[in-house]
Amino acid sequence: MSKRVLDVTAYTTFDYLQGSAAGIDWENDGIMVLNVDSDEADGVVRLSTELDPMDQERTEQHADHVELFPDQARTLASKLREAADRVDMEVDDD
Amino acid sequence: MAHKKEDIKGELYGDEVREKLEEFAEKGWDSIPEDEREEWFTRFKFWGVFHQRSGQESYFMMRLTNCGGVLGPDQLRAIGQVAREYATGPIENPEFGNGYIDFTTRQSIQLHWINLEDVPEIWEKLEGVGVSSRSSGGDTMRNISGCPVAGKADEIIESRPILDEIQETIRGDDDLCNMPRKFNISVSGCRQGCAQDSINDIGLEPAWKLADGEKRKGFNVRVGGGLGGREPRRARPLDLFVPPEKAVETVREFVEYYHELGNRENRSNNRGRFFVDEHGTEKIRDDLDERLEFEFEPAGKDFRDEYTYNAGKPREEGPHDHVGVYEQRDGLNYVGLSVPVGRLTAKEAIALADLATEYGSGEVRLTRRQNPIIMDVPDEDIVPLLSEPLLEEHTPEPSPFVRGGQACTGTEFCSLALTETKVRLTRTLRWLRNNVDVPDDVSQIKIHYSGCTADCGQAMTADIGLQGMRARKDGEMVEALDVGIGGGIGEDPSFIEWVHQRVPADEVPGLLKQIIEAYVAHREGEQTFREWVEEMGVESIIDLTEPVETDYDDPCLHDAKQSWYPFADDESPAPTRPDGSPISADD
Ligand code: HEM
Ligand code: SF4
Repeated sequence: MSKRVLDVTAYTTFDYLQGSAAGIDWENDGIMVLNVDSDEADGVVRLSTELDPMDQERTEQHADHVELFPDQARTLASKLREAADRVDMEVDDD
Repeated sequence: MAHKKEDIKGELYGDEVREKLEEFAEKGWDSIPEDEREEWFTRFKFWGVFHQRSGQESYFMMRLTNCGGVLGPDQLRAIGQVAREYATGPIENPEFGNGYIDFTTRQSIQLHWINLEDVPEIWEKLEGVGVSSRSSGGDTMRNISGCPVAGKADEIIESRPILDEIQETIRGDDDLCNMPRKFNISVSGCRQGCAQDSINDIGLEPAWKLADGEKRKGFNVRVGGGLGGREPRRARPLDLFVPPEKAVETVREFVEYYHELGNRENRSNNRGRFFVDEHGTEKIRDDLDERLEFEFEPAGKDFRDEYTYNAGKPREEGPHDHVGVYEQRDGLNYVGLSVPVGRLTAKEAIALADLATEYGSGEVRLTRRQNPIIMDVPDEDIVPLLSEPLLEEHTPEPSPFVRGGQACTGTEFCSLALTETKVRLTRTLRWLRNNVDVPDDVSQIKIHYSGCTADCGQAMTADIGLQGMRARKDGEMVEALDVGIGGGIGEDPSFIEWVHQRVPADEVPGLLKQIIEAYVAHREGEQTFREWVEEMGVESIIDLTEPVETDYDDPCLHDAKQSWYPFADDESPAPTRPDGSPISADD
């Protein structure tokens, strides 16, 4: 396991998140990098994640990318906002 | 559609940028309209003037160029004097104070905390002794790298005249100033492979052919190498042998070819290495063949199996760096100093220049390991030179850790960085020297540290590679490092493999101590670190080592990602006037 696939710099969206890779009957927990960037040439927003290489025991070292058209990216943003509000509400109730 | 940067460069670039810069300098920092800053900063880079990161507004880094690491008599002194006078910031570095110079891995020198207003005066002083900052940044041909002791040490082919001609006729050509991306050229003529031609956009390396029972010497051509950033590549052979007298035109043709055909739309994949991926070596060779007059010949036999520079080979097979005293072919000697993490105070730089004049010819050369070399010292002056205080501090006989240490800029000045690098590595090397014993025959353990994955510090090809990261410790975010081992270049380059990731910075020296002690306990005979890792396998080293706190005191453990300077407690005074007084918004 060597070089990370995703660049991790001060501009990376999140350089430290909890995450996991899972199969049917296994799960690798670990620390994950998540980045959002825009590819103007292809007209898409790219969301990328990579579990730390040393936490990838079951998989070949890799990153995942998903491409979103701008309106899809906005839908995702509003879904994230709604979900975040629900979590906050829960916390406020405690 | 061309990328935005192409529009900026298309409008004005190259030598014309200088006049505009001088105009702004005359009128002061405030005269650059705020909404034009980004485009001007992009252009200034061609002239080696880089705006520092956010929180350090109005301060610039200046990168100086040379060719193959050669500084003539008086050049280093002038650079040291400029650093003393102008490279002073609003805050001191805890190890290096104020006013220092950085040697880089491309054989150049960088000065920090420069005020724009001072740039014309600095140019005047440096250019007066033949030092320039032109074409040291932006989308241009960067410092042409070559063996720093070319012309003085034993070479298979004389590379100095070729380096000089490329510098003058190709890099100096304003018509070629605007490349699709930065572009690296290297020429090596020696047996050590120290110009590291395996990692450049175009590299010439010595080779030979048998013709009529005689060995004809020339170069094999490789293209499309590059470390750092996304997807590193080794340079790929074009299966092309060129005689020395055709070397310059071959390089020129490849530069023009990339200049014409390189992608100017998408900056994420237009570096030379991707260009070579896209076109393929066969097509590139055919196209060059068509464009060049002379007859192409297939590659000759190279000398790679003899390369020793950072190749992780035992010492008796040849020098692995330029640290130490070595005989030149003219009977004089060169003395390579070891400067931890490549940083000298301005005072030391001036002292070094004085020693070079007193004991040698005044010439100082720079290696790709961030170290200076004093050239042309007669035998009888070696002992007195070695007993000078500066050489006791930056000794040609350093501990293997100090000798192998190398670090990029880090959070101090780099906006991409996740961690501080130079002060931390300086202290770590000192701690290792005082806390880890290694046998005398171990002269090299190369520890390279980069503050992020862009890997300007070449962690990927170190014995022990460190990359800046962040981690959680005792409930707080802290600066952390990914730690890997077993990289190197030479005949068969390899990248490090991780042993532990996100190690909190204060636990790294303890981990390094364990790794090095395991090496010392288990190496067979005089096995080098890299040979040992290869034999032992990384898995077993992972199992038997762990990060641990020691009495090492980390300079800036707590996450300073938002801070304007890693060692600052106060607010930033920037932007400021050249005298250091803040420019407030209501002025
Ligand atoms: C933190 C790292 C390590 C330290 C400080 C360490 C230290 C030592 C020491 C002091 C000895 C006794 C050596 C002697 O008597 O000559 C030893 C023996 C040994 N170690 Fe380690 N070791 C480390 C890692 C490892 C690793 C990674 C392996 C295997 C993958 C390993 C395998 C062995 C074996 C097989 C012996 C017995 C060797 C013999 O008897 O010749 N050790 N170790
Ligand atoms: S490796 Fe990262 S932190 Fe270091 S100089 Fe390069 S970009 Fe900056």
